[in-house]
Amino acid sequence: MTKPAYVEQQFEDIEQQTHAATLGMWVFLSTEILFFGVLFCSYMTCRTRWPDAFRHGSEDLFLWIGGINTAVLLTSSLFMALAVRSAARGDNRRVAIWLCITTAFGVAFLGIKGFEYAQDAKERLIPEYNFSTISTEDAGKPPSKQDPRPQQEQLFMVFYFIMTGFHALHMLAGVGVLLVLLIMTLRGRFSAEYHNPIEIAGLYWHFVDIVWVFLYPALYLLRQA
Amino acid sequence: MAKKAHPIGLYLLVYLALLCLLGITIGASYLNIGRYPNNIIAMGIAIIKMLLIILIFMHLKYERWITWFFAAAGMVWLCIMISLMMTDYLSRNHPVNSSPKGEPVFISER
Repeated sequence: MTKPAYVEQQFEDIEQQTHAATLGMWVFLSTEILFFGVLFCSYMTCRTRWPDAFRHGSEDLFLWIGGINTAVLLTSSLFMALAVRSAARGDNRRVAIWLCITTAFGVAFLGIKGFEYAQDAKERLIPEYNFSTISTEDAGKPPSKQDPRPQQEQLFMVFYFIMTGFHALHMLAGVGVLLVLLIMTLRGRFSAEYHNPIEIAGLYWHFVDIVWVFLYPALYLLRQA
Repeated sequence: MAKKAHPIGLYLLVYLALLCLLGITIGASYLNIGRYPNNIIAMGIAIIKMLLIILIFMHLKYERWITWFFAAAGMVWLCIMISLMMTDYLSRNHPVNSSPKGEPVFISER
């Protein structure tokens, strides 16, 4: 029995190869759940320990920039899902268009994130670099009118930068993968039978989206005493 | 081979639902209903969003049981890690908002 060239030699047919690849991606995503899970776990323990400082930290973040970024990421996920759908129908022209849009939204997310980091620096929120217990708003006021930040807010900001930073690194990797897939699509490597790389890259992209879906409320939205 | 694709309307519907949930969760963060209800609403909505993305966008609905098993494994171990860790931390007699030794400040004044 002859196999098409896109079926690797260890697999019987394309269906077996597709299942193996998809399962492998889910195994990888399970390890990623635990990678981010450890960060969430330590964040939870510190948050229960210093609730006031962490709440103050959440209040100091830019809720609307984070909200816009969530919408940008959800939109990119929609277009990724559309790319996978078009790939399953063998419509390579549409796949290329959807992949371009997905990548553009991913890059937009990173740009907005960079802008937010710059705003955090302006607000003097970066620990061990320019953290100040007095916010820039309060700097001109007399000490009696100031509302100083708790020192432990630095711990919150460490969590914020590590968690969003690792998420941004995952986004960067995802953008790289999408660009490679875009080139492969333009070279006509995929068909209705063989489009599994697009599908499992989609799994990864949606996973990074899910991580942000949890990061956003955990870091920005828990602001009630 | 089964085609793994939903009709395009379903993707758009899920996308709109995700955006609505995002709006609700931002709005709920302004409600002053106490810390615990607030946290539960924020995290509950995040879990609903996660399920929508996993089941529809990631096509888990179409996968075989073994894929479900592997997808659940990470979640199960995460739940074990969080619950065991929190039973420890929540049952310790440490004063809240202080350092382990009871000092009011954790990171020294610069």
